[in-house]
Amino acid sequence: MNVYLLASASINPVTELPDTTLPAAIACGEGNRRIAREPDYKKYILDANIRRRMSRVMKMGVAAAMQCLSQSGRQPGAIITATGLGCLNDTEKFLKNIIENGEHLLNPTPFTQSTFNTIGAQAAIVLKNTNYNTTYVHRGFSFENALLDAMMKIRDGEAAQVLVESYEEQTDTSFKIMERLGFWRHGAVCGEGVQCFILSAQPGAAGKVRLKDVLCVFGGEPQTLKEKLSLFLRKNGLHPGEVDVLLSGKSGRDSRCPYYQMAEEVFHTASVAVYKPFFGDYPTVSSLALWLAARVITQQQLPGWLSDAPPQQINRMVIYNHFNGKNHSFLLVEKEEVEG
Amino acid sequence: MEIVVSGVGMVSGIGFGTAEALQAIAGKKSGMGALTLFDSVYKDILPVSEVKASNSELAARLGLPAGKTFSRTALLGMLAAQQAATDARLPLRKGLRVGFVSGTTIGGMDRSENFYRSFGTHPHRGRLRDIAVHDCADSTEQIAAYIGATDYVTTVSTACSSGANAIMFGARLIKHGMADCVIAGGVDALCKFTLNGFASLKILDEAVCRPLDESRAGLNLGEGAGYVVLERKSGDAPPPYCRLAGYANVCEAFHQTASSPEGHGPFEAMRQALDAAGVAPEAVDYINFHGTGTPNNDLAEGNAVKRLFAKKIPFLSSTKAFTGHTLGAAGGIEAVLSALAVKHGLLYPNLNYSRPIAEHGLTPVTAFRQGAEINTVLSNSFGFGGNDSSLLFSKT
Repeated sequence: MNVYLLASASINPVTELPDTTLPAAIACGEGNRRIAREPDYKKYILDANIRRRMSRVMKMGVAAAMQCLSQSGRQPGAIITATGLGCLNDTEKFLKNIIENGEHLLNPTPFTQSTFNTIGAQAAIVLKNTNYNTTYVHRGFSFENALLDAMMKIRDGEAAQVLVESYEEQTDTSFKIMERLGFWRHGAVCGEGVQCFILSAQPGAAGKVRLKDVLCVFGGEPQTLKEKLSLFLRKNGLHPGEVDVLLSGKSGRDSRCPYYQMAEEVFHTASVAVYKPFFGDYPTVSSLALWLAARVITQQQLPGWLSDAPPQQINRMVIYNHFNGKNHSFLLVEKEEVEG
Repeated sequence: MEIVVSGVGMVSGIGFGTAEALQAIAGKKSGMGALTLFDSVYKDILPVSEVKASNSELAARLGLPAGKTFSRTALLGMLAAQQAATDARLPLRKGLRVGFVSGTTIGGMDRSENFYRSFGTHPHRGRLRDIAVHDCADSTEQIAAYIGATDYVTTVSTACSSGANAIMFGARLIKHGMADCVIAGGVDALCKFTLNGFASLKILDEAVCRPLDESRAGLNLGEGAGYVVLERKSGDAPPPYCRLAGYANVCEAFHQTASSPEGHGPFEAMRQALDAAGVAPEAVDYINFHGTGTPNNDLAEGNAVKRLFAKKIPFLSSTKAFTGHTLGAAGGIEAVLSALAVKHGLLYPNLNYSRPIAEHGLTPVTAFRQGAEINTVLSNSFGFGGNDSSLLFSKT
């Protein structure tokens, strides 16, 4: 059964909600941090009191979800969220308070808001949605598992539409720690963002984009990964030559990463598009890639800032990303008409 | 497709492995005691249920090389997952695609706390080895690698229902052909972050917790891990403990940290789990309550049970007075206890009970029993954010 992207929304460092078209040209940010452009929340979270009580990442999460639902217009049958590091600001705030106040008289709000399911629970409360609700927190597999769960829900007929949302916030602390751990070497850039999607069994008026399949591979050398990728393509009845665009998670155009090189070799006839220099990197960044893929397929245009050699037609895209060489994921995205 | 439990493993404040746990439960010996794992202003004030071993003792039990940094969460998880895998004879069965799905609320926070203390004084300070194990996925990946279950690896975090939701996801992965066998459950280590978090919410009892009792005044925290091995029924597997007959996950969408007093979320989770299995409420023999001992949870959960099981109230009890509330591990540990209850006809006593809760008047089991006629067991796990889940286990 096919699963369609009925609606999507993104709060990222480049475009501003509710923008849905990709700009023809953009300037790449400077330095190695990219901060999300926050929208005017008043348009999405009407109650000023609720707005004031929410943390930054909660506001981003709810705003993106509301924007998505305004496109689909119905209650989702499930709400599934994904994050690598969760609500970092509140986590740090509570840790700091424990130390500074010597464990005395602590405000519980940062603790309760630090929980990984906060965004999913908030979305449920705002929407009064009592359906299936869960959260995946596994580095470069978080968003992929949310997608797979949603696809299973739809295929089992347990939900007609599923809201899938990823969220990641960057803080000074997380940037610094990851810098010390070596994440921002070789031109890699720290990012953040919230992406929300409505996955549906039926294509909508705007839902011409199909999420065909998702593959997660834990560990392994480039050669083993290549074999698993071949099996995945075969399972989906595809030859690598039928893929028009490889949306690669490599950090810069000069990346020497053997995994991304392997992917470029497999899809050597495809245009390679690179997005992380503009949007930055984070554990759930493949959600941003999926949002981009939906835009590119809908607009039938791969902007020049994403790729040097845009294809004539964009029927099929593969999103490949890995986190630290351990969590490899492939997302197969198609234009609806491909199989007639 | 019938999904069965072919192996179980747990570690908690009442011992290493299921045998020690059952022995403690039969002897009504609680795991609760004073906090020894880290310094805290709550040290002699709040009782906790610790796994009685230091990190280096845990590492030695696991045969891990000295000098490598593991979070306590990873160490506890390795012990329980290894027991579960061995119990299902997985190391001897070749050609299976084995996945590992773990629920946790805190991951390696016990190590991050150390890091953050130094880092707070200067951003160049703090041992990177301590922070590298911070995220939830680190513990999952360490455990998966240790037991060799890497064909599908992921982590679920829905507060105190994490373990139950991990089990549910594991079963669905098998049904969808994404793995042949999944080791699923949850793990959490005690740490300063959660202790202070629950203390700031004023829901920790300075006395031992009294689930389902009129005088209950809060929960006690615990730590541990519990995993079940899920697979399709087949001749290749050892005789199963039970079937995972049904499950449901709902969101109450009521409040970030509280249940509605009527227990709408718990009611729906239980009702939908029964529906999914095609089992009538009258057929349930025992309910392992979420039963944390907070005024709010035990009122809401009890009200929901009374309403759903109006015709016949099953045997019921909370095992949290033995293990403490182990947060992300609770759904896993209690799934293990539920599987054992079905297999051996066990009923677990609810410690520290004397008077029923006025609003619903439910009476829990207070004596350990074995050889009872237990065909169907419901296990509840409810979390912050209204993430309510129920698992239904039944005889094969």
